[in-house]
Amino acid sequence: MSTQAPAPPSPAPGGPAPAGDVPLFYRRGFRRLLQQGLYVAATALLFWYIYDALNLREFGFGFLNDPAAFKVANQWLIDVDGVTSSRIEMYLVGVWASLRVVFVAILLSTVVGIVVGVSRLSSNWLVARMAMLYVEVFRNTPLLVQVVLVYAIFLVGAPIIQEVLNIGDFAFLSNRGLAIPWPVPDAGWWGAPDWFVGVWVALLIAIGAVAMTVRRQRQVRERETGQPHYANRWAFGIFAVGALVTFIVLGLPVSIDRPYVEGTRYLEGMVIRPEFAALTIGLTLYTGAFNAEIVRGSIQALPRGQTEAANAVGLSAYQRMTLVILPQALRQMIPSITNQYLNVNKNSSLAYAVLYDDLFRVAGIIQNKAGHALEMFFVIIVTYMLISLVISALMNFINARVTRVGV
Amino acid sequence: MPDELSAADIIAESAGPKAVAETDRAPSEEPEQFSPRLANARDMIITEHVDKWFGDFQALDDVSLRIKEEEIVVILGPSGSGKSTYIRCLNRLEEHDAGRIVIDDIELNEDVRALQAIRSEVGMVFQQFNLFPHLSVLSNITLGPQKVRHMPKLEAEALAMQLLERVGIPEQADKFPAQLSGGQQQRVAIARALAMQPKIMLFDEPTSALDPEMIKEVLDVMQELAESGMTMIVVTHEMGFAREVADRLVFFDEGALVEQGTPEHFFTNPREERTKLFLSQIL
Amino acid sequence: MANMPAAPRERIVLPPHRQRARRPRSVRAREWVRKNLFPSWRGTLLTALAAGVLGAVVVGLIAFVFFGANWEVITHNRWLLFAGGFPREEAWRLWFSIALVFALIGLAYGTWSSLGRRDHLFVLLVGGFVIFLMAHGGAAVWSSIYFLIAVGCMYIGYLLTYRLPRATSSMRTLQVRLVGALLILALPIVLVVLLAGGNVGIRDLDGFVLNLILAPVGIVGGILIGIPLALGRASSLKSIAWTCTAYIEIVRGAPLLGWLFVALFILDDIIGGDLIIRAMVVMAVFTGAYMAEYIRGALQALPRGQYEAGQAVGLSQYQRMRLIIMPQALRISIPPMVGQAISIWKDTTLVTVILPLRELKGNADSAISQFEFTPDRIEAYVFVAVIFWIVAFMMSRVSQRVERAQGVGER
Repeated sequence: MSTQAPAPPSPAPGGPAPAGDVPLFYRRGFRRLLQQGLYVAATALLFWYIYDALNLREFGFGFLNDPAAFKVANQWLIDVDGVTSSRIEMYLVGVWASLRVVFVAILLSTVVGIVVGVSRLSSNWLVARMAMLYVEVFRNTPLLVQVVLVYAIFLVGAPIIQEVLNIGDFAFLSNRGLAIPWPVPDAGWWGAPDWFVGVWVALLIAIGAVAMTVRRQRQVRERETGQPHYANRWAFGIFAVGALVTFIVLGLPVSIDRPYVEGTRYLEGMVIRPEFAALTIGLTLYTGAFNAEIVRGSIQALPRGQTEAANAVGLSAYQRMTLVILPQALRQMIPSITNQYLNVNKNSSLAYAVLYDDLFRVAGIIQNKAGHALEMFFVIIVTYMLISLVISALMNFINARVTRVGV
Repeated sequence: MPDELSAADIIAESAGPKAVAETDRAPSEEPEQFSPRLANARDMIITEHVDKWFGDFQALDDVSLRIKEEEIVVILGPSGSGKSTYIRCLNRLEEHDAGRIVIDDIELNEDVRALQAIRSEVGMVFQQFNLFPHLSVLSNITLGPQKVRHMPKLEAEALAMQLLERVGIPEQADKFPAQLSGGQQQRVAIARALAMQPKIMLFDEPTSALDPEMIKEVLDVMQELAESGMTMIVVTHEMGFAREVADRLVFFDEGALVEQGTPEHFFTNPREERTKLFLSQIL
Repeated sequence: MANMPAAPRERIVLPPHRQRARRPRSVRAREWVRKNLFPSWRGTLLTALAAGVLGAVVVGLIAFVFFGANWEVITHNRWLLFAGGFPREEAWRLWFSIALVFALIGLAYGTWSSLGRRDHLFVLLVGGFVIFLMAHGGAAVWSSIYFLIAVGCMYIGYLLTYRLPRATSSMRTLQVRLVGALLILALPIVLVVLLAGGNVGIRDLDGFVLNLILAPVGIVGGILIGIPLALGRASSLKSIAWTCTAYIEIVRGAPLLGWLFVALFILDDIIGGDLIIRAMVVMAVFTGAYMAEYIRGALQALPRGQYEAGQAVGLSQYQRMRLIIMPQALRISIPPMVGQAISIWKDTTLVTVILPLRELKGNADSAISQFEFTPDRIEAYVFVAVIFWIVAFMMSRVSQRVERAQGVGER
């Protein structure tokens, strides 16, 4: 996560050969050893006290293998019933739910951050002021309140399922959530079995790889010869033709599933439940405000010359932003933005407040049923740290790309 | 030579140099040339075969040097030659890896008491002044005497004012370092070091960070200090100062002591090729 | 902080040939509007779009606030939201504490800053909001009067100090030390005022009062924990550096909710005590890890020469830290630490989520669980959001001021 920085200067241990006549007590090496020893002893004592107080006779993770005996809402792409599956399986369902929220919230909050951050620097007075208002409002109110407020608006504002709002037979909105059409696997022309989607995707990837190779070659040749070789157009063309041929030969691997309402339930399609929506919207609005400040800060940190140079070259305001300013600002903002993404990960635990079954809430339910609070806490913190590590690693990868390309 | 004139004053002012019998020590390759006025002075600083490594880089390579009480030594050398490292070893900002350093009969070794003792014997002036920006000029100077020497506040302030008079800026006492010019800051830094009433003063390129017009005011203070009988080791590129004030010049290169001698010797007839090359570049 | 030299403000007067002829106000206004709102057809489109969005939001808000909403959920539950289970007959303790804190704010502003027109306007608006709240639907006359007295205390504190000379002098030093000491002592004093005497238990801290107590405890405790942690992480003694690093990274690895989970289920066996005390400990421990990182950042930002100069003057390691390093490091880390304080302020709402403690948001939940107010969830939460916003906004303003003052100050 954070890099270990150089410690404040202090003389290195060792030094010249010790004079034999220095009493042990006054030798620096001994002093340092003494300090460390005392410190380690005190720490050990503290840990021993905690260990003793915790009374760990029943410590163990075996209880996670017992049947869960509870249900978890908000399953997506998986189907776990609470009767036969074990607690650890239910917990993983919670992790999956958390990951979905984190992923969507990171994506949306980045978009919000860039749009609002750039707007804050707009020469248009009204736009800049509105962006500032947004930041000041959402940055200075508790995320929890934002989440429950969005949830309350959903519950109070949306119609009950009996009076569901039908949006052109295409989507349905009620306080049970928003149902939208969603692609499901299909068998294509040939009535192929389940793995058909896999074949399709594999083919597309292969075509994509071919297209990228051609693009690379053409780029190289363009650089060598100085003649235009239209690398992007070629790549796109190859991909489009390949995809079209695949479609003609095989058919579509997916069909769009339209939702409908039956009684008090949504069937088919994809249902965005109010809990998920409230949590994700809350995280997006809140984190978006912080991201906006980061974007603004890193743009303002750029030397003025960049804007002036872009103007001198004759770029439009939009081109200036997307081609000159943002790519450079990106480098500056990645560390801070990463921090915000890690916060999104941790803040997703607020799911607890709207009863969205994320990893934290499922862990809470398990603890409620089985006890073992300490073990559950270990599981929770390790999970959050793992997700944080993945996010950090991804961002480091992006950072390396961004800095290496050297815009 | 101005030294001879002031020498009488010095001896009257400071405690008379005790003649210390020359102990047996490693013979250096060449006879050390001391200014005649220091012929009977005792050794203030003795370094023998000092090595210092930074990881794989050897910063000091077998440096042996004796410095007399009241001697003014100017250390020359290209950057990275180890001259700063050498004087930083003398007050233990760096710790030497091999060899002996004895300052005013205190051996620098593992003994924590030696460390404390040496810090109040040796004052240091840095290239970047390193004044404490959150303290007023006066507090910068009184801090050491009050906290280390446990001097009463009023006494420490009187001492500080006296020193500010000496460096020529008593009117700046209540200002903050950032409000002073570079030259003034460096003079405050000298006053701060003097406030501990050290026997030795180390100067680590004291004028390198200064604008040209401010260099003289700092050099003047240093010259006055030299004339008052302080033992001084100065790392500098100011050749005028070296020629006028120094008893001895020492030339470092690549961590080793290459050549030493009187200013006359250096500026008229240096022996080593490296010294000649360096002097030709800098003069 | 202390001894900030006052920078004289100079008005920049342009030489005559660079002064633009002053045109009539209306012309300048028109020019401004054209330049900032309608520079081109695209700009105009953008302005129209923005105005449309803004208009919709404003109209919606007005419709909700003045016509749609039922604010009785708030006015009917004033005391519940404010202090919940705090015994009403002991209300004087609350008002006394508030007046004390307000007076201190006034003193602090008078000593280090000044109140501008915007600040007065802010006080007026917030004061008006509070008075309106208390007057609406069944007057709370005495509460209004107490509140006004508290605001008065703030202005008295301000008027007492802001005219005093700010140049360095022994009087100024005394003043700075006095106000500083009062600021440091404020939290213990308030706790004593609230809890001394046995009529009020710590468990009676409830509602908004609980937020107001939890946040400072977390912040002050966090700084007290964070300083040794930061120094420890930078220590050359490996065992100390490693354990401090482990503490910081582990605490930052899990969300605050996770640590409150620890307070509820695990800490009981280790330190025991009332749940509120455990929650306070967790807040401080959690904040401490973040504060430590900010302080460590400041320690690294300090030039090496500061450490060396301290050594060269002969100060011991402890003296160097106390006299040279920490004063500078703390000053550098004030802005991020205020940011963390705002964050902790908002996070005090989290104790409601898994602990059976009721702070403002929790008591809002209680309010809407009353039968007649079940449809008024939005109103309740909007109110909570506004209250938190006011305090957080004030804190962010203070942070900006400190930053600006630092820019003027040294270095």
